[in-house]
Amino acid sequence: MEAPWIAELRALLGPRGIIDDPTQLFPYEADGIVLLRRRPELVLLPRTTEQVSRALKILHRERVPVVARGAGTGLSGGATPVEGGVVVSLARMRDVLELDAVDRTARVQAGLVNIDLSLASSKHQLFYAPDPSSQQACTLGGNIAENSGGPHCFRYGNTTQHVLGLVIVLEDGTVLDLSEPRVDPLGYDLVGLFVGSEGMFGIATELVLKLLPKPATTETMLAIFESLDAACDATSDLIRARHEPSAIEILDKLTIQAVEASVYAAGYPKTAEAVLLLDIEGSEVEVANTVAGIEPLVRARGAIEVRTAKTDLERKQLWAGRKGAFGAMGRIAPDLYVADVCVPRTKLRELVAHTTRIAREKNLKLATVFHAGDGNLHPNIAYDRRDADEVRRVLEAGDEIMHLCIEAGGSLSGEHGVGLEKMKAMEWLFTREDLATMCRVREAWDPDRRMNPGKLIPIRACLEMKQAVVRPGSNESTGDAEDAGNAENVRSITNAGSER
Amino acid sequence: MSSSLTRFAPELDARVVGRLRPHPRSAELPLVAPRTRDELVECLRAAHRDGLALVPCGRGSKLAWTQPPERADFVLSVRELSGFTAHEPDDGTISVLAGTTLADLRAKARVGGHWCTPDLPQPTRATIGGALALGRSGSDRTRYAPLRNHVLGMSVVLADGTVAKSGGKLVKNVTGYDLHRLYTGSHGTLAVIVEAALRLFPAPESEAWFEREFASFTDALAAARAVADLPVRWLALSLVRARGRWRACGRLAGKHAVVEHEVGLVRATLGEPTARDGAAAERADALRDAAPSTQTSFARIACRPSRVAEVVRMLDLEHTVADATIEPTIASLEFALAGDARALAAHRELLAKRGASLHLVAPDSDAVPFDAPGPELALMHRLKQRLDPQGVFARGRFVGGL
Repeated sequence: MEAPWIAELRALLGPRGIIDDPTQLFPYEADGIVLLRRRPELVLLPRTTEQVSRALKILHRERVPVVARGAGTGLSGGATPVEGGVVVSLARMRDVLELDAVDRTARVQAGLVNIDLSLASSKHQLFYAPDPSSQQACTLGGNIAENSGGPHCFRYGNTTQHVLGLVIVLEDGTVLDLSEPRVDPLGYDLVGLFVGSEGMFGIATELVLKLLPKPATTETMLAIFESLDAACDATSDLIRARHEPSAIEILDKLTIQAVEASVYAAGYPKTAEAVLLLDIEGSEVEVANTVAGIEPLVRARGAIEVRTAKTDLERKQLWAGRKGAFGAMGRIAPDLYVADVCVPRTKLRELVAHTTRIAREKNLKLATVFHAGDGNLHPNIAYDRRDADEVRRVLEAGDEIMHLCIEAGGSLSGEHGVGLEKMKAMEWLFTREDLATMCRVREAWDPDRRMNPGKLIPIRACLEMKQAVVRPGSNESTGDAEDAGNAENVRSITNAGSER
Repeated sequence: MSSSLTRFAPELDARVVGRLRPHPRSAELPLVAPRTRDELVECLRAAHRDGLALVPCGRGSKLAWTQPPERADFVLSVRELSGFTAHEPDDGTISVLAGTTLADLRAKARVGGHWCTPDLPQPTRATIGGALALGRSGSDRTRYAPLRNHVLGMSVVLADGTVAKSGGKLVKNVTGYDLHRLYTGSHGTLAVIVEAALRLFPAPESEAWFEREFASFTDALAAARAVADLPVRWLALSLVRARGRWRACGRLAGKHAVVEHEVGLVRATLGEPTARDGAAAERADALRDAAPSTQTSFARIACRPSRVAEVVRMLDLEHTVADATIEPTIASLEFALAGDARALAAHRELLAKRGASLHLVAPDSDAVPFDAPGPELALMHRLKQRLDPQGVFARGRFVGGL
């Protein structure tokens, strides 16, 4: 017989708003980290903020842990469910509620797919700037949870710089309407604090986002190099020379070959050791001036050819290659470790050389594609999850890369978040006091720590899981040490073809 | 609220450098100014241990912008904690101690070929710690958006003396919660900001300053909107009211060729630039330093850009204010207060209905400076409770009694 609280949720959301059939729960067991699977008790698919609020009130009463989920494209295990918990999927909340072309804002539901906002804004000559490579699939709510980036965040900044207001449902069902776009916050900056909190503060159901006017001119450049080091050095030179393109991306040889053999073939030269892909946006004069400044710099670093896209189609192809790179790597090996680390832009060459050395020493196949202008590296290691020894070497390589980044003044993530994947590494970067302060702030939002428990903050740091909530009548913990250990064992293992 | 030095523990007494009012309507209190981060930690630990309450500040120039504290025992200044802990011109980042003046910060950035936001009035008297605590963006917000967007990381001392950091020194980083967004604009009610890492921007090669007088506010606003819609990256764009006249003022800055091109686009609406390069910067600085916010009593209204004209009409600002600066693209209206602040405060409800907020700085009036937040106030109090349960950072100064 169905538990009364489940029946209550079913009555609230209707038959299409709740999933409890084990065969249908399967897709919700993991996000982009597919080896880390946990079966939720239920998946809820609300349509409105009101339904989310009423559902969370019931789950609060029953003390059930909750994990919010957008499209499940995340690469840090941020949407990995909790055993016996409930997943709240925002997939059916995908309406554009208001598009204000005068004030250049959009009010949308959190489940709207990223690219759909730019498509909706396009007729007003506006666009939404953050453009994760998964923007054809990822949701804006997920972008908010992870403070997602994308190639063009070099110029426009990560998601947090584009969020003007939010409607947030707290763990007890309270609706916080912070949606009036304010010049400055009234009191503490709750919106700014919420962005990037990885689903641990509540569920954002409606978002007010900033739209930008489309640039008058866009030039896409492709500089071809005979060495990856030279491409890295050219990037550092561009930053040093104060050039301001919109995007600076690097793809290495293995990535180029994978892309060119795939449906994303962009016309990158297969024999090149690396390509530097740049977008330059602005007025015609501004673009011409920037291009004229960049070309001699990249040539001085040994670029053997510099191309510019002649047509809009050519430009789109060059970018389709970049954005499809992770999918294309499925050709190299069945599985892909997608690292996401950041370093100062003066250290690009050094860190790329280190990752190449580590992969060589561990006999691993490394493909590198990254947001070079932001110092955001994605060393990607192809592997086969059925080979236990290879899995071990991949994980060791990941740890070494993170350690080296920290030593170089870098950090653990530029856009994928910490989630389960990098939770252990938080102790390498932050002190116990730093992490305890994060815990204190988290408890102000979610005193019982039921929202996305067991993520981001290591257990030892602030006894995060010591008081794990147990649902009445159940022996299942909402995220105990065993769960966390499980997370550690499968950290960083993702399937090819998925990138935030 | 009075206090004598003898009440304090030796680690605090040794750091007393004078007396200062935590608010113009409060009595003078001992001014404690630690010289190092360790001394600051000692001061906080002593206050926490002895149940004292304090008001943090930089150089104290904006203490009147809040309400008087409910109870305070001393003022804690970070003015002695100044200088730079890191500067990476080739990476475009700088790490600065909170007591550093904005003038020193700008000068340091300029040496590395950079511009550092915020461009705020009286930079030799204002500290970066104070600007961050107030969450105050500068005249360059038109191009660079709010200051809070460019804080890469922060180190703070909490109420119990715990040193905690968030973020880092990287232009891109999503590791851990963005606690620096919480501290920025918290008016010193949650922590003392010790150090911040900031993103830098390319210093301009060339500048052009436009200043044109209009017969009415409506004409000036129409001109500003027209030039705001051009493919031009304004560094600053404002409508300025002085001596009974409205002017549209704009500042272009960037590479030579780009500024020349932009001047050509703007000329049709605002005429020829009235100053170039060094003279343009001087004129911009002079106007910035005469902003209404440098006066004892002023008001700031913020709304949606499309509602600027409506708010001006509603409050009859076109005719009633003597000095005003309106940034039309940001939708920020600042004006000097001539009459009773309570009369303006009475419009709060009407403004709120139009999504506009009002910040009143009127130290001689008992008008409440801030709008009351809604249901989010409970969450703000919970944040205060978690980070400063004892009220070491004096209560009552910020919104809703925080």
